[in-house]
Amino acid sequence: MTPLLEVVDLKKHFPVRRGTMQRRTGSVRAVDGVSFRLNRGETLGLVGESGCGKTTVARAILRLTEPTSGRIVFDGIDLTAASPAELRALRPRMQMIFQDTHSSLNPRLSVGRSIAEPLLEHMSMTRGQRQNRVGELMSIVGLDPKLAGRLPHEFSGGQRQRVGIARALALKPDLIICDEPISSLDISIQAQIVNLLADIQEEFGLTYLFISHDLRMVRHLCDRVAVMNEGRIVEMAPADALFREPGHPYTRALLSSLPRRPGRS
Amino acid sequence: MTPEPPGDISLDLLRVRGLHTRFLSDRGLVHAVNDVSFSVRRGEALALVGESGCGKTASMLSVLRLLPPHRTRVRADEVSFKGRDLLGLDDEEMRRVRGPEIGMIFQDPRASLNPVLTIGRQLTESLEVHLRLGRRAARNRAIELLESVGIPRPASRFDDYPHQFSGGMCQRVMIAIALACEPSLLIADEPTTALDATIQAQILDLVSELRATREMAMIWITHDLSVVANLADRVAVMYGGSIVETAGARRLFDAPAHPYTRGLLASLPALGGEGGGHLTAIPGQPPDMTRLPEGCAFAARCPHAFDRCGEERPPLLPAGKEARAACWWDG
Repeated sequence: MTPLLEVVDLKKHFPVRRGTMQRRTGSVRAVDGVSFRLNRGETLGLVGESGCGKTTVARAILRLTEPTSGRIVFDGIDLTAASPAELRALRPRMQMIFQDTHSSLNPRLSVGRSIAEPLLEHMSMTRGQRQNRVGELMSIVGLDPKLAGRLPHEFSGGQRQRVGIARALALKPDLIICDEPISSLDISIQAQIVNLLADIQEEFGLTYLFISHDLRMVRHLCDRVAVMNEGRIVEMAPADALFREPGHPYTRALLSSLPRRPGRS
Repeated sequence: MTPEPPGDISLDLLRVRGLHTRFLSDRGLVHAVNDVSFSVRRGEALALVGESGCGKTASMLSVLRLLPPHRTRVRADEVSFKGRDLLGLDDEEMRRVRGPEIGMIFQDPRASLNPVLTIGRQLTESLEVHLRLGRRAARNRAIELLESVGIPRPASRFDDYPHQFSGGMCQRVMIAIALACEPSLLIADEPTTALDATIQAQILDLVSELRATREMAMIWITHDLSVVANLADRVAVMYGGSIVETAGARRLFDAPAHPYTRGLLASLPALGGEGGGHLTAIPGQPPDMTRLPEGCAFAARCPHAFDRCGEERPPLLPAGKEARAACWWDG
């Protein structure tokens, strides 16, 4: 079976400029030759410390940043060689869930309107059909459809993340990139959102790229884990194997830095 | 060690009784701290645990008198440090307590460091003012301190500015500043939350070591239960502006009494085992602090709530050896 997503030798270098003439004096290798495959229905965890390049990988896959070199193949189509029309046709199939729901939702739009936006952009629907779909999406993520007229600031952090998830689901995507989706949420809310992500994955056959520094949640949610350090994947393994027997010294350092957990082990 | 009889308060370094804090926000009057009482003994490490907005930072800022007075009301039956009434001190006296006697570390080191002063100057300033050291002695002491918090080649970094340090290094500098005057109490508010896992582990090791060598007492504010397990002697769990459970750290994790504490511990995924499946999530969401319910703040989310929980706020009641929980349920 062909993978849903294949990333081949992806590189993203940012120029470093110095002096009054802003001459290019070197480059930061944010992503330096990353390759992985993501199968349908699978969850791949991408972990590493801040600045290791994991968010740049996500942005390159969604074409929010232009890679320096390498290939990104989505469902057999090379995104780095695709035409704007082809990209636009693929866009609905790849979505993202963000960490910060304060900045990822427009504060002046009702949450119903925020969820409807991708529908307006990509689907031809009547107003009534759109409203029905928004109500349906809100129910899926556990929000009362009657709240569609509210503004984001009237919602708690957990509810706003549910809005973000409803919006990501609107166009029935195949792949969702989750970029630290729970790290800004209250501790008593995190498990709710993780359960929701697991439920909708099962229901809609979603494939996840799950970016996180929360190793416990990665262990819980992911089938395989890729560990990044300084722009490269230093280790990639099934989650249980990686946590049982980390191979790379950096992975061992990352795991041993986990404070011993209280209660169950 | 035998437990002190309940009446013996001679070992208490900081004692807080009946603390209430209200402040005015755009959304109304925030009932940030509601009848909070706790004490810390010499050399003891107390962890104050809870989620954002539960009142843990507000109670510490109230004790340190760091909240803006014009929109805040702080009321307490007692806030005493080494037997002195902190609420009765004037501003100048209070400044001599903060820093030399009670050290503080906040979450965001870059916001707490002065960007236009060198790292060295920020350290020597407090040494000169509070310990009355001369310039050279202060410099030597500052370099020692930087070395003790794990800054490599401290003498050559002495004249660097904060922007030349990474986030983790800035946090170490903040710790060095907090420890400069050898305070008998350190208050640390989420000091490692913004740091990467490997740096966080280094800082926790460092603080444990300093606590052992200096017999410093500590209040560690955090939302991360796994940090608490390694660091604290005793834990106070806050919810809705009140302490809902307090117990020895081991006891709290082995046998949590309050349904909120139980829910939090149950919702953490295990590192071993199979992975996958459903986490045991706490339903609902934290209360609106401008509209706290009359009864228990957790009742709306609690699987054991009954009539009384909605009507009457439970006080901290004995829940086993040296542990107390604010809960009417006795299951």
